[in-house]
Amino acid sequence: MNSVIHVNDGQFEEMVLKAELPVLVDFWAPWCGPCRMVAPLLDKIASEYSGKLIVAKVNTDENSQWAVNYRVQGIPTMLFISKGEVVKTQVGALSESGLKNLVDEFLASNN
Amino acid sequence: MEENQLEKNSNTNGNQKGSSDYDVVIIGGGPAGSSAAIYASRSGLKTLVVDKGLTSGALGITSKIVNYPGITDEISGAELVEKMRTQAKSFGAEYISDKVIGVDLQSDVKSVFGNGGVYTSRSVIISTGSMGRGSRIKGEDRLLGHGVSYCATCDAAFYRDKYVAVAGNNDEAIEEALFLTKFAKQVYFLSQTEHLIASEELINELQKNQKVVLYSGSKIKEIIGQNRVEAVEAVRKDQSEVLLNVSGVFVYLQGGRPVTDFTQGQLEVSQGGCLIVDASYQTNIPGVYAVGDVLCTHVKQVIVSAAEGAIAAMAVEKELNGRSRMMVDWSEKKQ
Ligand SMILES: Cc1cc2nc3c(=O)[nH]c(=O)nc-3n(C[C@H](O)[C@H](O)[C@H](O)COP(=O)(O)OP(=O)(O)OC[C@H]3O[C@@H](n4cnc5c(N)ncnc54)[C@H](O)[C@@H]3O)c2cc1C
Repeated sequence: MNSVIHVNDGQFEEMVLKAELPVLVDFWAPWCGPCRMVAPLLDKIASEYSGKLIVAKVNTDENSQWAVNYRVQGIPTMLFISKGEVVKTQVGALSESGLKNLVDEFLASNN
Repeated sequence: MEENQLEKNSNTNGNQKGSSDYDVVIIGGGPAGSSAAIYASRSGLKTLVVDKGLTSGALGITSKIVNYPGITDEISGAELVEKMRTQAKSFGAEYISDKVIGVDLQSDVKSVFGNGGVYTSRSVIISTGSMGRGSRIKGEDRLLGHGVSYCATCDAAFYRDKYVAVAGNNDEAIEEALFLTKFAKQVYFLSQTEHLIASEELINELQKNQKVVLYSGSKIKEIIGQNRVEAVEAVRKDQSEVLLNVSGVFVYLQGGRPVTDFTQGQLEVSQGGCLIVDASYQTNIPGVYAVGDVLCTHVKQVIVSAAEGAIAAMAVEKELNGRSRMMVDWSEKKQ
């Protein structure tokens, strides 16, 4: 069962951009309420979509480089990345079904 | 949001089975929510009201209330809400200042997510009123997350030493603007009305803050920027237009729609988009109630909201304590 991986600026390229599997990256911070709301959903998605999708998290308090590169100015921001390319961006928390729909669409567009 | 609140609540995992912090969490502390809080706390339920601001609701902005039975002195809406809140607190209800942004109502333990914390309970009463926005500002949706934000506590840190604009006129907007001044270089506060609707202390604090430039009677016409916010165009009260170069816009405008966005489709609604409730104001999810102006079929009066809050709270008590009938609170019994 896969779990969410925590990625820092130095690891981002290797673990996200060069990943074989599609990646959902969540830019978050500990003091952000909406981020806390999506956190358990991301944990769930990481295990339910194990082997199909990597769920990664970047703490923007400690790692700002990629957040700046992607012009992240509001958190949570979730990027759906396939082969190093951002396919979709979701800003703000959403419901479990809403997030799953986005993940399913993203995975479908990858096939 | 107060730090200690945040710490206290940040470890609460919403979906844990079994334990919850409260018997009932009431979302919105206007007359509907505060009346529910009076009845719930007086019947012994552990009650929390999560509310984003005194002048963020319909009663809170009403300058004078003359038709609420028993209140014969001249009183403002905000004063009446305060009285109701004080009364609820006297019976043990807790109030937290936070904006609810999401809920998980499906599980036995309900989770209410705010910008400042997560609150769990056995039942939930929704009483957020009908001051939700309908229309958006031009450019707002496109630039959401790229300069447009609804949460200063979440995003202020991205605007260190930058220029930002805040659109709004109530206490929620003012508090968020004051929070932004800790990070931003300058905060343009654009209030669509000539006067701000908040307590005198709060208005003074805003006016005195060196980082705040107040534009009263000014409405944002467009949020401008290619890939990120670069400026806002506002129309001032004399119809002159002003272009303000900003990197961020924090929007706290209101309108006339039921505030249900945070339920994210979890509750059944009618074709017209109104929440569906039964005679005790229970929604399609057991343990989840909705009262007051948030119901679009309801008569928009304080007394009606208060009554609905009372009925829902009694229904919650009945349910949680496994009674077959609602228990009426006769004072003789309590004394
Ligand atoms: C200008 C005006 C004048 C009026 N005059 C009268 C009158 O004279 N007599 C009369 O009987 N009625 C009057 N009304 C109607 C009356 O004010 C409403 O029917 C009544 O206030 C509805 O109560 P409520 O508790 O449902 O909603 P509200 O009073 O709107 O309270 C909603 C509460 O929910 C909170 N809230 C909203 N969203 C969130 C969120 N996401 N998170 C946390 N908290 C949230 C708000 O801060 C607010 O405190 C007037 C209304 C207006 C607008």
